Amino acid sequence: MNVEVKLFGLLRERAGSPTVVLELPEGAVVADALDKLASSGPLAEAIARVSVAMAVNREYADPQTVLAAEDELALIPPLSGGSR
Amino acid sequence: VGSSALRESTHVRVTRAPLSAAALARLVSRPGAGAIVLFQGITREVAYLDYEAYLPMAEERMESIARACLAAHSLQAVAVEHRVGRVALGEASVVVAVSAAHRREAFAGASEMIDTIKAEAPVWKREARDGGGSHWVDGTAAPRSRAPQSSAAQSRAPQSGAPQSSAGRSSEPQSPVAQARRQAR
Repeated sequence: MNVEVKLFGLLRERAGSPTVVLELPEGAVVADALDKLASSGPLAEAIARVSVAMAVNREYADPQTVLAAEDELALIPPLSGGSR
Repeated sequence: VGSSALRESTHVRVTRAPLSAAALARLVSRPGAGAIVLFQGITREVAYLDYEAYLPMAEERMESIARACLAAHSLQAVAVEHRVGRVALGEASVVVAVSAAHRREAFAGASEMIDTIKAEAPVWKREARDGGGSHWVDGTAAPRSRAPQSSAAQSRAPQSGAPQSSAGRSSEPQSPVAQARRQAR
């Protein structure tokens, strides 16, 4: 299945696009998608350097969350909230 | 409940327009509220900041946080607005206003609101550098994030091969507010 992943901040700039399309096997989980993004392509270097979370249908998702082609996926780089 | 005259107890907005702390203070004003606490996050030490948000998740997340804080701190009303786009030096990028019967609840509620928004709302900022250029500010890792440098083997639990249920597809971050949020549902 093909899934589209929304990109923000430094990841969007690094990819040069607001989305990236991933080809994943049926039954793939969030960790599979993150591994694929980290292993090759324009985001690999950035993902190795900063903590990245994935949101599935606009909720932060556990790495074992199972993905479906129609899910709304987003890659979430570190948030802007800094020191208190 | 039932009366259209009742004012909403939460107000959340992400906007490109300048924020008005006074307007938010008016929004949370209630006859029984003896305390209103107002927090403004102000752009400092740089010429400007550019903010970017994941909409509508950012508003949904802030609404969820607002409802959790409302319940957890016995607040009467909560209002939060966050800027996106360019915010000039000295301007507010975020404003939180809460009202409560007494100041103790109002201070605690406002403090938890802004802390949780900064930890969980999908908002990013890029700051101007002296002498030109800009960079994305390294902030805090999003909840449930994958640690950098971890190998594929470490980030994945052993697979049994059993069919995977779609139950519990996503999970809340394990913060006190998240617990209050679940209880409030």
